[in-house]
Amino acid sequence: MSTTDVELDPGWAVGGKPHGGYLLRTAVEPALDQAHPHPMVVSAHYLSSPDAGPAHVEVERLRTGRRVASSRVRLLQSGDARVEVLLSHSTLASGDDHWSAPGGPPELPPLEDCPRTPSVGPTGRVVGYFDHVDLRLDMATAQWALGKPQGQAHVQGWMRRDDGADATPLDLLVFADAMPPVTFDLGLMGWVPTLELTVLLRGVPAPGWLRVMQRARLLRDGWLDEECEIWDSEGRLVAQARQLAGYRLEE
Amino acid sequence: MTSSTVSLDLPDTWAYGAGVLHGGWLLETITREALAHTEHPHPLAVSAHYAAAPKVGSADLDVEVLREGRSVGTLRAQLSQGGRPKVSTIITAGRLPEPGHRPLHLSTAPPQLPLPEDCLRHAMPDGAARNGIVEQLEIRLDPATAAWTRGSFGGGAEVRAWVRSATGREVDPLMLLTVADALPPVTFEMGIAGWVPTLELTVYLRSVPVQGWLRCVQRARLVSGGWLDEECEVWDSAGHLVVQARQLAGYKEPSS
Repeated sequence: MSTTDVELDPGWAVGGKPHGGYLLRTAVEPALDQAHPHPMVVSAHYLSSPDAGPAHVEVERLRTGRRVASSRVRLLQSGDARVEVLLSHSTLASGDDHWSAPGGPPELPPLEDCPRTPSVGPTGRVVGYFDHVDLRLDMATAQWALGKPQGQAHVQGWMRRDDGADATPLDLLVFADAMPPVTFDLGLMGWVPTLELTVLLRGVPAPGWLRVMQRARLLRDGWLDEECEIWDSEGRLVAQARQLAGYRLEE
Repeated sequence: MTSSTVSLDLPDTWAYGAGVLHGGWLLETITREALAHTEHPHPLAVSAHYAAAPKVGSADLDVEVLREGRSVGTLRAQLSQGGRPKVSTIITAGRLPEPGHRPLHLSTAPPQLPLPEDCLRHAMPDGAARNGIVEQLEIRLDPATAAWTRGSFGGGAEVRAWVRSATGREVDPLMLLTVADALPPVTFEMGIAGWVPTLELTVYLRSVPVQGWLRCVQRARLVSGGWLDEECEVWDSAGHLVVQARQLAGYKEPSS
């Protein structure tokens, strides 16, 4: 087992707590090696939110195969496990898909018609990761931002890194948790903490803007599933994520 | 964080052929043992990575309680044989809603299936290896998504079926972990033969199930580069969505 010291950047925080996708990338990176450089499937359970500042990542290699390695990763702060992760990593293939479900990527309005999501919202709440993740929402799915939730529980838009660099497979772990919660469209404006997040990476993304779609199927008894798909500029599905998260009814 | 080790004996009840143990049953077995270490009664979210195929016989299960909170607890449980990790899991436990709890939002519907008596009983053909899954579970396949049983293939990436215990066991949340991985792979219907080993499986449980037949649908989105995703929804006989599962599994690309 190896331990890596990490520094959790306050610039990625949401209301003072580091973003879940950022934590996932931070935890996964030390587990990768040259022979197995790409996360292929990552499962994370979130135990308690760390604060910005120093933390540790413990990595234990479970299996080293020729194609695939599996590792266990734990992000700790103040001696407590904060995020527990299992991942299998490999070299992601690029090439033609054998079969892809009909439908394809979400249809989005042109980029110039989609406004960038600011890191400081109208209520003054700071969502720091939107300084790092450039999100352009399809406003037809974001009427809640104008005070008019539509009850669709579906949100979509364009996404890339703020610095304009091409997204790497590790960036997709961040992006898979970067859409605003679909609960906003149901008129629930509260925090939606992630309990579990699994990300399947299906290819190295082609350069350019990514298309991202997130939706929920079931909200019941304080829990919802959120599914996120990320498509690259060549129309290939590059990430499939699902999370189980909590919601609260407004008082 | 407290940890303990339990010795298990893995029987061949759920084995395929010479001793390939069923992935869903392994997940149920591991989760049942792990839940003995928390006050929380039900699995809410269970993630498993299958590092190597366990064999019938003795195994060690290491269980570590990571956090015991007021509404949920999180555990890590790892099954090893001969000191080698075989299946590694993370389990978040809590209390599932009782049946009938109204959804705030639901944007999916149960699969449409012919009546169980008009479906095909999933069985192994004469001369084929035995398969514990079809001995322990009664799986009734929708003929519309089971052309492969007639030596053909439909081309779609979806399989639908009714499932219940073949031994009279009542439906409970733990059993749903097995059912989440019980359908034949969608690759058969796509004309891709061969074993489809699971690399990762995550199961969300959404409600305590009511008794009766379970309706299951399994589908893939992308089959590419030797890997496919398979998602499985399980609905209980009262129409509640009780399981959402997804796995990443391997397949052998047909030579062209």
